[in-house]
Amino acid sequence: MGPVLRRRGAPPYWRWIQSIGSFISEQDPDQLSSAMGPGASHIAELIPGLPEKLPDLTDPPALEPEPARFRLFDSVTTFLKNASQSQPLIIVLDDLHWDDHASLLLLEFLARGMAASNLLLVGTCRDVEVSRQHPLSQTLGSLMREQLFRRIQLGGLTQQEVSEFAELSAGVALPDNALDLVHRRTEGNPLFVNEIVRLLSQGEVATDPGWTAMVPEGIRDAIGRRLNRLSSECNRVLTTAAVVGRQFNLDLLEELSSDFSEDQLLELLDEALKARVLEEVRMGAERFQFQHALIQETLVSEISAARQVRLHARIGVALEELYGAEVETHAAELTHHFAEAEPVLGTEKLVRYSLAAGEQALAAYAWEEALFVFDRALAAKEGQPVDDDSAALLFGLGRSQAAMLDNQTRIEAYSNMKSAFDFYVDAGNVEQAVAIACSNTFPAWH
Amino acid sequence: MQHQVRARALSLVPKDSISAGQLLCHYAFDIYHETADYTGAVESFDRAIAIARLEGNTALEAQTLSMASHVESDVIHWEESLEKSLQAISLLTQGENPEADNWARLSAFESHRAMGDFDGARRHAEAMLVSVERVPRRQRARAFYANVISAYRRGDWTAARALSDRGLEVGQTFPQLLGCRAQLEFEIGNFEQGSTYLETLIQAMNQSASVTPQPFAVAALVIASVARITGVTDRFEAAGIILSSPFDIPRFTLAARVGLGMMAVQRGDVDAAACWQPAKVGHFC
Repeated sequence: MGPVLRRRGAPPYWRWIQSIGSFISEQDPDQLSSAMGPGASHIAELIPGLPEKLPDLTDPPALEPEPARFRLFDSVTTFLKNASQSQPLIIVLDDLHWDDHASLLLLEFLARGMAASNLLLVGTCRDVEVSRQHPLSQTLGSLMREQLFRRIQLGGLTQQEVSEFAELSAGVALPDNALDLVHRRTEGNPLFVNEIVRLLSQGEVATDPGWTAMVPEGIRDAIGRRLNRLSSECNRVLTTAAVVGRQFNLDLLEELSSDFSEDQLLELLDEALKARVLEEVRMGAERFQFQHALIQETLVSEISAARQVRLHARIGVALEELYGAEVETHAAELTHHFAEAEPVLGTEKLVRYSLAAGEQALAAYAWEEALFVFDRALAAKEGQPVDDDSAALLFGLGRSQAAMLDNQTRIEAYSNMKSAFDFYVDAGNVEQAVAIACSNTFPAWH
Repeated sequence: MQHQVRARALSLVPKDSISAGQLLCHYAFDIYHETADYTGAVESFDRAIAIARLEGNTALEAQTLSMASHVESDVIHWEESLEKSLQAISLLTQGENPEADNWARLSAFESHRAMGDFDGARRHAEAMLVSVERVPRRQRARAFYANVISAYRRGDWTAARALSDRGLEVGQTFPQLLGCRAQLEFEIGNFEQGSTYLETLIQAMNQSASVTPQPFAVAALVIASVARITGVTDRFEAAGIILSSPFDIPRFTLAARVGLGMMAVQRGDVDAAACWQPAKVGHFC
């Protein structure tokens, strides 16, 4: 399980929180209540806005970790199936290779239970990103066993399709020799074709007899050339934004770009929007996203590690100010930036937000995410004497491990919880020590 | 050793508090399984129950009885196990603590079965399925296992296979399920399938039995049992290693004695067979 999602700082189940949250925001409360049934209280643990829609919800009964996660998944599946009865539902899951483990498990569960419903799940992934160790690899293996599952390998566009694509997307009619070259160079990869067509549409085909030399060798080269056409100020702002993530808010970018006035910044963003490097996010106010993840990745890859670290530090501090009293609820995002900024900021903030993010992941039954968050913070504190923070991290790590099924992980869970227990006893913190010893997830022999 | 952690925590809390009761309940379970101290376990369970009753905490009382019934079945005290499990079940209101309910019903299932009441065993096995989705994966596998045994016992191979499939879906390497399925397939003549399950079981044994041999005792017994059907004894070595482990828990010791005895009979080793003759034989699979 790689730190796929953590790299981007989103909380567990972020994809589902977004898509289900967006869907329920448009639904009538009575319909919602009827479609969710008794599972509404479990779904409310996942979707923060649900209690506002259904104010009479009660807390779900406390269950052991695994049954609790089952109940959550079952409630989401039942809800989506019921909701699809009145009108068919299509859920499109783009870029599955970036999903956290818990989101993928929910996808597997939903796929198993969606027979005889009016629900269609469409997922996309870049197969080059999915190694055998990648959690999506396991999910795809599991989905293959489902009768309803179809895996469609998308090959490149044909030469004819490249021609039509160029004409439809940029109004460029490629002559035969150009079409042949573009098709060969891109192997029909639509993103790559798109990038080249944008370059060509700016006049080279017509005016420069040596245009073939301008056709980039690779996709990053193509993106780099398009970025080169933007002003240096625009590139600077975009680089900062790229370190924030694929999406970013205007107010954060303003905080980070104090060299520019608000008007100047908006002009630079307009420049990027016009060049279709950025797009505005429909659902969010003053929120932007890079038109493709590879554009963001290209920008980040062009700056030194030292600069990335400092930018993450500035982003983390700026986010703390912007979120104010609600900062803890954004712990996953902050943990990501403070982990990257650890070489310059140290471990204090990383630990603080890791504790909050880990607890939130445990509460959402996303043990794999919790385990990663606690483990990373502990690794950052390696070599330091055990203190309250380390003990809390060890307890969190132990609880995450205890929820796993294999014996080896449970043995490690015991060891970690024992270390935390010993610390609390020595420190005279009886309440915490007893909490560990009484913990339901304290890994019993059976 | 978990019982030492619980013991240390116990020394930190007031003697008759709810926290003490909760700790005692877990401590009793751990001390038996970690040190085979049955007397110490019973004393601690009794103290936990006394605290629960004093405080009117039926949840704690039910949980303690449920865990105590499991220890009683481990020492092959079927009547005591049944009594405690039925008390626990009666205290547990529906859905309040599905895990404790499932543990209690598993003990009741095993006690009824060992005492020859297969209808009683079946009732508890089926009740385990009601809350099967609300218990941890390992326990879910046990619930399916009980129902596989129940279906197998009444000769319903179709149901036994379907339940076994569901169980193996949640516990792919759960030894008892693998063993029972292998035996079922061999007994009805599907040697190829039987061999597949048996190989998976041996693989799981090779990976985990050195850390936790107990769950494999009954499974290793299956190896001996299957050899009686096939006449092939080439897996005896793997089974022998497990069955010769020093089990402190009578239930597993008994299974080991039966297994070693069966293997001795098949090898024609009369002395060894007599040596491993168990005092009483339970119903394993």
